[in-house]
Order: sequence, then structure tokens, then C-alpha cells
Amino acid sequence: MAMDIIDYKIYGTETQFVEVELDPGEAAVGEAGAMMFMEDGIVMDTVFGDGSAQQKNFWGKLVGAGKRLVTGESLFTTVFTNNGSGKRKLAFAAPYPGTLIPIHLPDVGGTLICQKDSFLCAAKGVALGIEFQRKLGVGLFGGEGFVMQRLDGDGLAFIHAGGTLYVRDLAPGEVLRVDTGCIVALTRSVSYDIQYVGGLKSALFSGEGLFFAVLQGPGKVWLQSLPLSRMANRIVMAAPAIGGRSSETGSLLGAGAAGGLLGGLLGDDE
Amino acid sequence: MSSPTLALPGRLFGPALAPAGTVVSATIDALQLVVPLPDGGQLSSPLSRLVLRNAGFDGAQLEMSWPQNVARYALLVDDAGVIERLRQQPPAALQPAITAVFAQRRKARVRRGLGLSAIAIWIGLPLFALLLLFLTARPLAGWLAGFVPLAQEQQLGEWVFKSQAAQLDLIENTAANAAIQQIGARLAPGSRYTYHWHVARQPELNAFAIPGGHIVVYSGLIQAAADADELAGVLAHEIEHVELRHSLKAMMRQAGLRLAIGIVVGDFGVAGEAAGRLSGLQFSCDSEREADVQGLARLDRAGIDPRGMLSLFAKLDAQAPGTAPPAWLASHPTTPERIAELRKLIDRRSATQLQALDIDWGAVRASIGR
Repeated sequence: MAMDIIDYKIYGTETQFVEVELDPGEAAVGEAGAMMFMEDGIVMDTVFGDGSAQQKNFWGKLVGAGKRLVTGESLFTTVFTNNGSGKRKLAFAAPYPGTLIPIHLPDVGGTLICQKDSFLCAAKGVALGIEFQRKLGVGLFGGEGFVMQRLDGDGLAFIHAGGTLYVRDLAPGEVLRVDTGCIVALTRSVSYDIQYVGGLKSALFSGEGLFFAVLQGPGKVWLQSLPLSRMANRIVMAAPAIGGRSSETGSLLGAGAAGGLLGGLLGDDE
Repeated sequence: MSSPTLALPGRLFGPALAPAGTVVSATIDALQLVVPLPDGGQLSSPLSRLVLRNAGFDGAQLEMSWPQNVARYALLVDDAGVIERLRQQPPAALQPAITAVFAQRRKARVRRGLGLSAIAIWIGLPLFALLLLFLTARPLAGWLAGFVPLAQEQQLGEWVFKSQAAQLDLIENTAANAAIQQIGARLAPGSRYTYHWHVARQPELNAFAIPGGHIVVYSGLIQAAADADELAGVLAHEIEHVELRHSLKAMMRQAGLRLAIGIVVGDFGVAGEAAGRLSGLQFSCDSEREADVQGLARLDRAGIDPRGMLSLFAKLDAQAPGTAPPAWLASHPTTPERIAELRKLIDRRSATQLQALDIDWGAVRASIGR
């Protein structure tokens, strides 16, 4: 399958958008609502399903759309095609402060597993699917839920996550313990598991929650420094108008008694 | 066992290789693993130095890693067919490691199955309990109602009536009030309940009984009745609902179910409110039949012509033949069926002394207007 090769430029530092340049006849798919601007000559078309070329029949499209629904995306994908005669530009903007990274799928083995909602846009031909978490413990406590998004293909895809994104290459056998919720994407070769933080004291008072996510190489992982939920939580906590202090979920005491009673006195350091 | 050379297509990871792995086609034989590199070189490891584990996001890949030049290399095999072949014809030196890896897979599967079952039970048990409660709600409520003291029932009825009264357009101090009071007194002499009769302005043909003795009759029903005997039939029926504690049982059943659903499913707001409305109280067919039969006996004892009950039923049936029955009959057994049953009973009963009700029915109907 021929992928469209697109040129791009990322603007901004903390709140970014990506401008992609389409040759005549080339197309890009974008997450619904992500488009920022497009030049004359680019035609927008909304398709049912994920707009990848493999799904020709109705059922394939329906299944694709259902999968998108499970990952929390819209049922429809928007395809932007350059019907003009010269190069045309369009831009996709990130929905909240964070970092936008281009990932050339062949560089990561053709498949990328990423956090729900992190997909922003891709060259047409990249298939958007879901990857079910088969380990119950990881699904429940791993911070990413039971469903992750899966990008397949040999084109360019852009994903977005909160704060600063950090890419880490894991050597065979190398283990990295990560705060749950900070994982943005990983290659299929990386093992993803959870580990109890150990010790009642740590579980209750370390503020790290009950579990770490454990990533074991070989492979590549992308981590975000500031999950949106954490920032949202901080904003809510700082907004007296919409009521009180709350705390990040995952920490047993932090969410309950300490958040209300002790939290106010001691101050959270999260 | 002879172990032929087996092809192991996979991805090679290691120092100075692409972080996402390099596609290689390795081979394994009885002695060693050989991995040809894209640049023409080749890596190899004796089987004794290989470490096997389940790897990858879903744990479905097989990783073989070995130390080489102070670093560690790993070959990840993704192809399920290849992994299966390796399981079936393992090189002798690798057999224990492969057995261990597959034992681990089996264990993970079992653990997953157990976990899923636990989740299914966690979700299914309350639903099952709810279903059980639905099925046993009637007998359960009936049994529990037996423990409610009369004073409590009357208190409850009082409270329910007060909360409903605001929504009812009650008519007071008319000839109709006096008439149903009079009929009621005839029908329920010496009852352990104190009856309170109410007339509400409402065109529907309906009447309902609240636990403890409040009975509300809609004006539409009075207008529809041709004479006092006909209305007496319905009143006797409603009195039986109170005497037999049908209203109390139905209310307890509904409240219990609402509570149970609320606990299992969560608050369901408007629907719950609607379900709790009194006029919507559902009696079972058995309750209705019981009230019919006992009501008939009650009419007999009071010396009121039970054919009035029959003719009002017939009127209702004639008014809406085949279509939806009037509201107060909606939950009841079909009217023709009940008429037939009542007729049988009336024909069978021994003749009793009839004592006509001394009520000017025309004045009663006129008093509540059209």
C-alpha cells in the first residue's frame, strides 16, 4: 500500500500545532476537531471508520468505526485531500498544552501502541485500531485502561501528549518503572506490566499510588511529564469557585481522608 | 530426538541496532542460534547461553536473549506459527526453557480466566440477586406485610395520602361525598380500618385504595355509574384491596424493588418517580380476582345487589371493546374474563335479602357537575 509522504513543520513550544504540506493528490487524516487551518485547494471529506485504504466493505468500516468509539475517538475521521495543482498546507493543533511528536511508523517496526486520544493526525493510509490490554492487573491499575490505540502502516503519524514528551530507547532486558498514566506510546516489543510499590507506608504516603507501570525492553517508549488528568486536577484544586480540594486518584489516602483533612494543613507536593 | 534447523524470523535488538529492532531471519539448530545481520555479519550464541521469556505488549512474543561483547542482544519472535513449531520440536538443550515459558503462558491464561470470572461474578451477582428479587417480590412483600402493625399501616396511608392530595383535585361536601360515605359505611361495618372516602375531579374511570383505608374515587367513575349499586360494586372491590392489604403489599414491593434497583444500577430519577406514583400501583391478577370474589361476598353481606358490579364492568367493556381497557382496569385481568367469573359466582350464590341503597343518584351525579 502506498503511503503518502508528507512534509511537516511543528510550530510553538508549549502549545503546539503541526503544519503539513500536501503534494497534489496527497491526503492526511486528522482527528475530528483537530484541524486548525487549510489552504485553498484542500478538500475536506468526512469518512466513516478510520479512512485507511484496507477497509473497503461496509462491515469493515463499521468495525473500524466501533473500534474508534471504544478508544474514545469520534466515529468519523476527516480526510484532507489536496485537489489543487500545487503544494498546499494545512495545520492540526494540539487540544491542550503539551508536546507534539512525529513518528515515522517504519522506524518503530510498523506498529505503535499509544494512549487513547493521543492521535492527532497521520498520512492517509495509516490504520487506526485498538489494542486490548490482555493483562487484567495492567488494565485495572496500569493507568492506561484496557484499551489503547494502535497505529499501523508505513507513513508518518503525529501524536500528542501533556507536558514534555520523553523518548527512551530500552535495551534488551532494561527495566524502567513509570508512574501510571505517564505512558504515551510504546513499540510492540516492550513488555508492559505493573508492580506494587511495596510497603504499606509507601503505598499510602508516597503519593505515587499503589502501582508502578513497569516497562521492559527491548524497544522504544514515549513518556509524558504531565498527564492531562493531573493538570486538570491541579486546576480544579486551584479553583475555589467550583469547590474544594481534590487529589489525584490512585493514591489511597490522598484521595480520601488526607486530601480533605491533612491535605489542607500539610499541603500536597504533587 | 533429532532437531532439524528451524527458521526463526524475528526482530533483533541490541547495541548499535535500531531501537525498534532490525528484521532478521535467524535459524536455530541443536547447537546454536545464528542471526545473520543486514550488513553481512552474523551473530551467534550457543543454546546454553540463551535466556527465554515471554515478551512484548501482550506477552505473546518469544524473546531469546544472550550476552555478547559485554552487551545483551535479544531476538523477538512474533509469528505464532513459528513459536508453535518451536514448542513441538524444541532443540534438546532448550527443552526445559521452552517448557517453562509455555507453562508461564498457561498460568497467565488461567489467571486471566480466574480474573475475568471474578469480574463476571462481581457484576453478575447483584444482577442475579435483583432478578431473584423480582421473581420473589410478590410473595416476599406479602410475607413482610404480615408483620406491619395496623397503626403503622394507617400512619403510612395517612402520609401517602397527604403527599398525594396536592396533586388531586379533591371535591368536598357534595352529595357525591355523602353518597360514597353512606355506601362505604354499609359495605364495611365493624372493619378494623377506618375508611376515609375522597372524590377527585378526574374524567378517568378510576378509583384507588391507599393502605390504611383512604380510598379515592374519580368523578368520572361516579358519572359512569348508572346507580348507587354499580358504584358500590367498585367500592367493595377497593375495600377488599385495603382489607386484604393489597395496597400495602404492592407499595412495599415497589419500594423494595426501587431500592434494590437503586443499589445495583444507581439512581434512575424520573423513571423511579413515575414508578412510585400511587395510581400506577400494580396489583397482580390474583389480587384482583381475590378482591372481586371477596368484594362480591361483601356486597352480599351488605344486602347490595351484586349485579351492579357486573353491569358496571360490562359498561366498561362495552365502552372500550377490544381497545385498551380504562386505567383502573389496565393491570387487571381482562374485563370479559372477570365478568364471566363474576356471573358464575352470582348465579351460584344463594339468594340473599336485598336492601336497596337509599340514594338519589341523579342528585349525586349533578352535584359533581359534568
